[in-house]
Amino acid sequence: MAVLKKEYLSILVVMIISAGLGVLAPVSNYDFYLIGLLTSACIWVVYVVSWDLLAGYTGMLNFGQLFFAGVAAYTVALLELNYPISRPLMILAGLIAGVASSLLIGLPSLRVRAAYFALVSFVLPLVFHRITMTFIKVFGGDYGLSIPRVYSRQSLYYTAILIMAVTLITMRLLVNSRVGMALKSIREDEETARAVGINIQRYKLLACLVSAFFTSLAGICGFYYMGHVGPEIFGMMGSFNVVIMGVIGGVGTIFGAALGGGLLSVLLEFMRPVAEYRNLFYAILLVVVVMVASRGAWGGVASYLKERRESKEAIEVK
Amino acid sequence: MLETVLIFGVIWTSLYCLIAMGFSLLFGVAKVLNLSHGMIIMGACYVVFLLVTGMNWTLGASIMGGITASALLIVIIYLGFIKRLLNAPHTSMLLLTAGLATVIQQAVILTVGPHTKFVPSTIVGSTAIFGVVLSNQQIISVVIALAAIALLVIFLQRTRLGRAIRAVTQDRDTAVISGINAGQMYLVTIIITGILAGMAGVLVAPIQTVTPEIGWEMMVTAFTVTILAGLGGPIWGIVVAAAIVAYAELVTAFLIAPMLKEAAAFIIMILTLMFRPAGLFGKGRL
Repeated sequence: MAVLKKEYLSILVVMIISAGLGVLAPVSNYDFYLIGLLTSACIWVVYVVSWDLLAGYTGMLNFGQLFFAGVAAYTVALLELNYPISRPLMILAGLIAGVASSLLIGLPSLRVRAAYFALVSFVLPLVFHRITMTFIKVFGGDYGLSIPRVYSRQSLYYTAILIMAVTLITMRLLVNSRVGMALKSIREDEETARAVGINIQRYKLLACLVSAFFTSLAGICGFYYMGHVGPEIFGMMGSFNVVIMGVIGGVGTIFGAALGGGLLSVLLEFMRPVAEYRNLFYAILLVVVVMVASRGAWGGVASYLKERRESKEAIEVK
Repeated sequence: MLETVLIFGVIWTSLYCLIAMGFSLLFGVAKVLNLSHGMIIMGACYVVFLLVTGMNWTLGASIMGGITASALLIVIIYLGFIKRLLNAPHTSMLLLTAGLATVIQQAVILTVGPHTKFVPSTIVGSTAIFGVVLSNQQIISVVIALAAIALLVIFLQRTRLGRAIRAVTQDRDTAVISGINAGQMYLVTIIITGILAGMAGVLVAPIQTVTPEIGWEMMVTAFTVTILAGLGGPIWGIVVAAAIVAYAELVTAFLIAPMLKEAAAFIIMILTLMFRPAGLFGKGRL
């Protein structure tokens, strides 16, 4: 449990932020707009953090993170509309479908270099987009699937906060455990990792499954909040936003990804008046960050703090 | 029905060759996976559209315009961005080129609009081959595509420059020791890639409807053909792979649904990665 000791501060921070978000609801008198904004921010944070586990820790760059969420949400929606079994069972089925869908990307790309993972993750959502548009009677085509509201907005807001907190804490514990070490060694040098006896395929698959699990969870929560899922979840831009948020926040730190997801999803909302320039703005931001500050915002802050601490220590030594 | 599939298969094979060739060549020579390749082809489509409908240029002139534009665009992208990240981890390159692809796509959406455009055929008339009616424009497109591929093969096999490029593909370090300037070869490859992308764009534009989305569809084609052919194999490997992908997509489109042609490509991609990761003609594992 050495990990718990090392991570107690970050767990505390996550809990304080979550509690603060929770208190905000009654304080704002359950403001419709604010709660909607924060619910979607929590969900984006989960998406981006799950993406970071793959991209930042295993070197598997996923261009289709929302694919998992889409499969999970469509599964739940189809069950809600056609086979109304008990709700926990539907959610469980959605989670299983979402996690299983990660095998479609994971399994074929395990034997080849990580670059191919990116290509497969790029194509797969497009295929599902086409499938939803082809079998219109089942998937609703352009309109997607809608259900009447089953859970209140407030309860889903608290659920989203809970999912975010659990995801953040689990990810931090995971990446700082032995498993996290193995994942990082795979990212740095696959051959060496293999040589020291790390089962690369097993760890890559594990990262895929964990990432897909939390993404599906958030996807189902988002589905119940919107009461709707449509083919745009398999579109390029949604998943691309996840990538951009992760890169701008900082890859390979979990908290950087959370910061990017939280801030940029709120910014996404505020840029609604200039919506047509939003994607261009984000894409340019991505190019700039990759070119000049590949460690992202969190990386920049971290190295600044480290420098300051070191210079302070240097002064004290004098 | 059978004749239609067979003959349209030839058309799409030759176009898929052009789409995938530039992407695959750059991947082989400089080990750069350029995710903006499809968007450069899309850009060439739009240049042709604007030249033909807006300025009434002839087909020949607009083809030259489209090719010049895409070659210029890719050289700018290479010198301004890709070149600076050649030694960075591959994830940075993928992120960068995906970002550039989106910038190009969004720029087109903002300037020309997101709606479907039709590029009118500038060559009229049609010819029946085995009872399948093809427009003369389609026939000429195939001829131009095949001629371009033949020229590329001759260039790579017979000229000094082509041999130098192949040497860099096979073993960069040894090539550099033998006095080949790898940086120059990269630039030459980039220009060839741009010309191929431009040709793919100008030839596809009148045959297909043009939307800003087709850039991603072109990427799917380029990935699938490149993975299926494998790296470091002969050029005709790409032709064979393009034929397999083109016919698989056509049969799917005819028998099941036109929208599902990407699914066929995806299945080919998955099967290749699972059972023959090096590709059909590739040398060594990837």
